[in-house]
Amino acid sequence: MSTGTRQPQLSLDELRRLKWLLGGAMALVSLWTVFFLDVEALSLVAIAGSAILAALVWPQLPSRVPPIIWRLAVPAIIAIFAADLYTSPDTLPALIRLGILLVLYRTVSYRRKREDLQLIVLGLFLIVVAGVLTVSLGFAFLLLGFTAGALGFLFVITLIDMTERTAIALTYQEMSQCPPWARGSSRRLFVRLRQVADWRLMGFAGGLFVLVIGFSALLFMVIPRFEVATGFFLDKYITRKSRTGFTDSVRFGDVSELIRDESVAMRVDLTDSRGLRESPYWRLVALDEYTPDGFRVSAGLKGELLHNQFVTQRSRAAGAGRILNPVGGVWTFYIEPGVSRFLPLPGSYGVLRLREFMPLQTSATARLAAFRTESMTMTAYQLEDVELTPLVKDNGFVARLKHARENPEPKSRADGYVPDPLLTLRGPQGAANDAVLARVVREITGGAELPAGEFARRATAWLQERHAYALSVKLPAGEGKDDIVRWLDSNQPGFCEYFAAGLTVLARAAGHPARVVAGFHGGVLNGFENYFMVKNSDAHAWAEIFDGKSAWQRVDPTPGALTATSTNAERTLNQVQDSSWTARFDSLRVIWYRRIVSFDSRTQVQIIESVKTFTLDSGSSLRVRFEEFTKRLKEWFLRPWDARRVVRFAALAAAVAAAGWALVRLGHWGWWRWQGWRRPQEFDPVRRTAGHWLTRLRKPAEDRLQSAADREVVPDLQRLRYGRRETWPEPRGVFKRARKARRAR
Amino acid sequence: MSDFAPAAEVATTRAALERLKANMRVTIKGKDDVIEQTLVCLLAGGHLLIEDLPGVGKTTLAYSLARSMDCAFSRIQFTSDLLPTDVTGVSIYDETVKEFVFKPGPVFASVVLADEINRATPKTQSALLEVMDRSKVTVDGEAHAVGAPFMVVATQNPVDYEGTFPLPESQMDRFLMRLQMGYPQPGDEMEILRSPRTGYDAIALNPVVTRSEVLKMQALVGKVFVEDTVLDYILKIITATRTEAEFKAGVSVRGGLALRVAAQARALMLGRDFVIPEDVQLMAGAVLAHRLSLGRQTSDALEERRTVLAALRRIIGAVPVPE
Repeated sequence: MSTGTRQPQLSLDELRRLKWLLGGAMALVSLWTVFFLDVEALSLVAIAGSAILAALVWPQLPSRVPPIIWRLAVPAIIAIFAADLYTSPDTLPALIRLGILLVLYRTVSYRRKREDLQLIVLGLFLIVVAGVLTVSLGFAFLLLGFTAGALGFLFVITLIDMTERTAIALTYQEMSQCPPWARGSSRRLFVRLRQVADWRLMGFAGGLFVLVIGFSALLFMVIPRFEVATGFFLDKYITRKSRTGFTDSVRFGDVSELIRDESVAMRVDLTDSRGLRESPYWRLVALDEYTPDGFRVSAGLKGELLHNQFVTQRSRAAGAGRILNPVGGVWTFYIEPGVSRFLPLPGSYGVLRLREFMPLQTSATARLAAFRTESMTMTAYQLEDVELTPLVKDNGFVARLKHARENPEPKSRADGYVPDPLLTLRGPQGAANDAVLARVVREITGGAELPAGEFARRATAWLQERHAYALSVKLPAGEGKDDIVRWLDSNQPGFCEYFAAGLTVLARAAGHPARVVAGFHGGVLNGFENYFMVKNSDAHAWAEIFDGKSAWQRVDPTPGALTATSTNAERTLNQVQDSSWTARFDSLRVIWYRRIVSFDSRTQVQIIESVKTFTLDSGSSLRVRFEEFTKRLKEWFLRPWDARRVVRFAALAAAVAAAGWALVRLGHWGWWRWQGWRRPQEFDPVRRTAGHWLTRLRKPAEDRLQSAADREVVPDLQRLRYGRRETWPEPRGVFKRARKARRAR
Repeated sequence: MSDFAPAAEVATTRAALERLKANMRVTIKGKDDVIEQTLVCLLAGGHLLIEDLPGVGKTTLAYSLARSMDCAFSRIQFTSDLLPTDVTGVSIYDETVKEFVFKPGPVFASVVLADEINRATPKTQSALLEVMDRSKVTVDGEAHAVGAPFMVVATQNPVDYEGTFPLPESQMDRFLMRLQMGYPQPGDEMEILRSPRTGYDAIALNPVVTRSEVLKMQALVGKVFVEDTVLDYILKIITATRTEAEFKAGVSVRGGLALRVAAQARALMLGRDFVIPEDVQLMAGAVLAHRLSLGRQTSDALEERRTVLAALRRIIGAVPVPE
């Protein structure tokens, strides 16, 4: 600032006053957290809070307290804590009460740098405890780690201070001296604060604060879904969305797009992977309506989903029937952002559980579950009582089909809420298409009426005979024919969508209700954390054909379907364990998910309960042991004392004292060794010994007159210790005289 | 420091200093510590600032020192109208030789008493301080050495501040030591009252050391051995003043050097050819205190001095002594 008036600045005393206020405010905030805890400390908090407030308003107050009180404060706090620990069965509340007392002590006494740091850590302790007991465990772990760091930090600072002896702690006398900064009035300070306030700076600081908080919040939301390997996350959002094949319609080629994407689409964590014999089909969406471009979810099915939309956290599967053979225990799904609004389901399930209340759409007729929109963040849900069945029960289908055939035209309003069953019979239209389809069906069936299962088997065999598997498809030209019909008519290779669509179209032409289903097939088991990694390249499509009675039967006509869509050789479940480094990194992510994704607070409550029980038990057992000990001591004392017992006791006491003395000596010796070791290697042993003797001769001599022997030997020792080496007297003789001088005292 | 301090020379130095001390004691009663520190300052080749009330014997101390050494003594009474040339000397045109001839000022003496140095204008002060730093006077581009030994004993009154120009910190740094005389003990004062003498001109002292002896002694100081841990001790004290919150700024590098030299001089005075930590401890107050200023305002210079000394004592108490 070259022109204009200079911005006024706070003096050092005013800054100290400000520091006092800030420290008090910090302490009050940390005390506030105690209200969140179920701890009997409210009266203590009230007392501490009012004392801190008083000290804030009148900073001179601590100087009125005589030094003896300050001297006694810490021992008193320790005594109170010990008594508290003894009387209360629970350790944790006692610890919290200790924390409150220490915060009070540190806040109402004058502080220097070290004490300020202590106050920060004490306040942090209370906040952390509140965090541990009230917020989720992941948060608690972070805070605990932070506290450990802060404690270490404080310890190091104290060590440095001890070494440099720069920030010298206040003595108790100084604690009772009113420092100059405490003298002015608070009102004046606020007037000065207003004077010196630089609004631009404050605006800047406020903006910075908001920015930091906003950025942290963003990071917090994004980090679990952030994959370092694939680069910047925004890019990932955008490309994933355009690549996804699992929308309400699947055009030919959509799924094969996905097959090239090796990134993980979802992770499935099983509590019990025993009994899992086959690699699961993860069913996402059933496409029941045929269009010349491909299959899509009919308006009726969408209507059913919409009609069955409930805000829920726990959804019981409707019409699933009894689960006969559940496997896998609880299945926890972590779906990456942008995969689909439909939830992958491995089979029939009993209960679907979400992390929080949110709108969930379900369809009983097609056994689908979906959110309203595709999630832009990681989504998680749990399934219980999962049965891996190729059947999708739909008991009402026959009746609905009959009803629809009888009333083809008038649609009641309720019909909008169920998929039109006639759609599952409608295929490509037009004479050209019909001719091809009728010929193919005749080829397959040989003109006979086959049951659905048999038809599916023969149709699959026919398809696999005519068409090989390939990821790229060249369709021959054909006037007036739909894509899928032209493919069927050719002997071009195809991929899963063509096979599934072809089978569906053929089944419909043969009069069997059928539909295309899209989802994932397979996935590899992560060997480190025992969960399924399902990649986008595991995307698959297959068909479902109605068995004519009560269920839709899964038919996978794609060649090598057992190996999912991959062209690898056959893999059984046990062989698809992934133990690569990528899997190792991926398993870290699941560990993180397991920590932060909570489906109910039950587990957390359990952990806290166990901690509480542990502290309770340890507290009470400590008390019991102490009581037993005092009782035994009393009994021992009351036993008659004869001469032999007295002698024995005296001998024992002497032995203990001797052992103690020896220990102390040993400690001293170790200390000296350590000191010697700590000094640089070149530090001369003669100098060290001379210094040692000087200390020993000096200490008692400060009180009385030095003896003649001392006067004689001390200059020589000094010369050995501090003098030039070339001028040294003979060291051993000097040390001998020093020993004599010491003995002469 | 590869040079040795030969034991014989150390012994003669000690004897010479004992003679000096005894001689000065005749006129300065009951102030042995001040005399010792003055001698340390002389040995170390430094300059002395005595800060005390008028009439406690500052001038007498300087005069006795000069007389005891057989050296030239001059006194400059600093006032606000004193000019730099009044201190350093001036070239005047000499008709007889037809050229400018340098007339040395009062600063050309071995012991110069600069009385009430803070009464002069900064320009005059700095003229003196330049001489202190370089032992040379430059007039009209010509350098004139003031001779050796050269010691300035400056005095200033810490209480009476009206119309003074306080020495800036950079110039305070030029003084090796700052001492306080203080009032004598009642017994000593009784003796002073009994003596017939009134002014310092009446002091009749015989020189007990020669100039060359003083120079030899000064040369010996540099040869006093300082062991590494003691140097480290000095370093720790200096560093501690730099981090102590009480002070505006810590001791400069020159201050650290001054402390080392003063400790060496004290060791030599006590007949040792090596420094012990006690030398450092006892010299720290006089050598360092005037180089430190408090970070906060105090009511007067006396209080500031007390606070600085207390803080310094605390630091010295806290820095671990090499053992």
